[in-house]
Amino acid sequence: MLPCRIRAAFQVSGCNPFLPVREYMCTSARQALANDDQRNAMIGNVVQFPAVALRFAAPNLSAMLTAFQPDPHGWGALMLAAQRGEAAPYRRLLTELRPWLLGYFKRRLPPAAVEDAVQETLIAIHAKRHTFDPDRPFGPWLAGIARYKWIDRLRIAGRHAADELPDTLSSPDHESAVTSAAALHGLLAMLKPAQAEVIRLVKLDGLSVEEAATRTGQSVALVKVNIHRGLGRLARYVESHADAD
Amino acid sequence: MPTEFAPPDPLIDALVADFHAVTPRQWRREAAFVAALVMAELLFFLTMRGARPDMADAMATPAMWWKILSPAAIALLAVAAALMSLDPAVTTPRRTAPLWWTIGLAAPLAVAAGWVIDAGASGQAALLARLDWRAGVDCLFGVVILALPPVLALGVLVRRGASTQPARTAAAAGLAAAAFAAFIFAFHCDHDDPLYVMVWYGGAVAGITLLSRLILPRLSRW
Repeated sequence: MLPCRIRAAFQVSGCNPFLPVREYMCTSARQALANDDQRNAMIGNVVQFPAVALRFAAPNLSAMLTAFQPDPHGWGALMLAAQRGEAAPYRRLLTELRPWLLGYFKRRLPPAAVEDAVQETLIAIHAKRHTFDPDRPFGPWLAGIARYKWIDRLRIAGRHAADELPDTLSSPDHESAVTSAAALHGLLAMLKPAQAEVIRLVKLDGLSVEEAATRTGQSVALVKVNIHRGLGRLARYVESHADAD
Repeated sequence: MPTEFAPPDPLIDALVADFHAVTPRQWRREAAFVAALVMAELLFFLTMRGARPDMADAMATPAMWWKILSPAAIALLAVAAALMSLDPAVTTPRRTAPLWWTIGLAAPLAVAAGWVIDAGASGQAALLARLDWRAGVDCLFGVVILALPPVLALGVLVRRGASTQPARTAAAAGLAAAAFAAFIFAFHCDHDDPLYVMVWYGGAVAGITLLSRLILPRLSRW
């Protein structure tokens, strides 16, 4: 399978930060202009005239209109170019998707799982890039893949209920603890309190299983079982419902 | 633009290095491929084992039409669901839910229609004779063997695609392949007894669907 090959190549080649950045920037700048043209062509004459007029009259309204365009970031056009084999737009697309995916998974996964999920999703986008239909918007396609990987990661986090060392978690920074995994916090309300509590303690606050056991009065085995079952239930719930934000 | 200031990322480097042009998948092309395969298999099977000798008389009975058209309808629905679900953009549950519901209802409806036809015929007497197990086992294996080429073809398509609901996609692919096989076999088989068809055809279709549901998700993980 493709992803395995890439993963292997990734491990062998390691970090290679020396890229022909200058050339790639020039191409991507040209591509950006081309994207704007393509984007405007897609909106069509009827919408384009007021949109252009508004851009001068009211910048905020113009920005609001942008949100309703079929391809607000130009990602669909970039992917179309990538499908044709153009490397520079492809690199730009992946580079722009990375922060978006980071934000997406930070809201939805325990901190320790976020980076893996982002990388897995980038690899999935790469391996399945032929499934993007250029006639349709890019957003739902990307969201479908990200959501699939989210469910996957929830399952994996449940399967490895507790065998991760607590120090793989990011250091307990109060602000990020409040904002991170916000969507996941909301979903925990659906679980039985005993399951939600140990997931919160071990997966989000970074306590060890033993500490969570002492804190909650559950046995160590029960903590593990509750994490496993709880995250499994969340994965099933997310899979069968529309995206819970 | 965030691009210009983003630090180089080794994973993205690796992905771009591995990168080459791809042809976007088109469900029309995939559907045409499956249709061509089923037609080829139908022709091949009819050449090898022949259509039933009493085809002209059988055409007048509702049971014959039921036996051919209900698997065809199930196969068409299931193959549409399987191929549609290979695009991550359309697999959000809300959008495909009606299709899955229709499939879920189509199979019991076919059974019910068979039962209605059955009620119009004889009673429950001589059940075992009606099941005719020697011919029945032949039917069962016939359908299973005929289902193998389409299930392999659909398996390849599913692996190439990107279903975000692998279990459902796998079940739909298996159901489609088995229903196509039942459709093909129905031209040869001269048993029109709905009970017989339900048991032997139904058994083969359910078995292939279940196997596909169990095996295919493991092979198409992404």
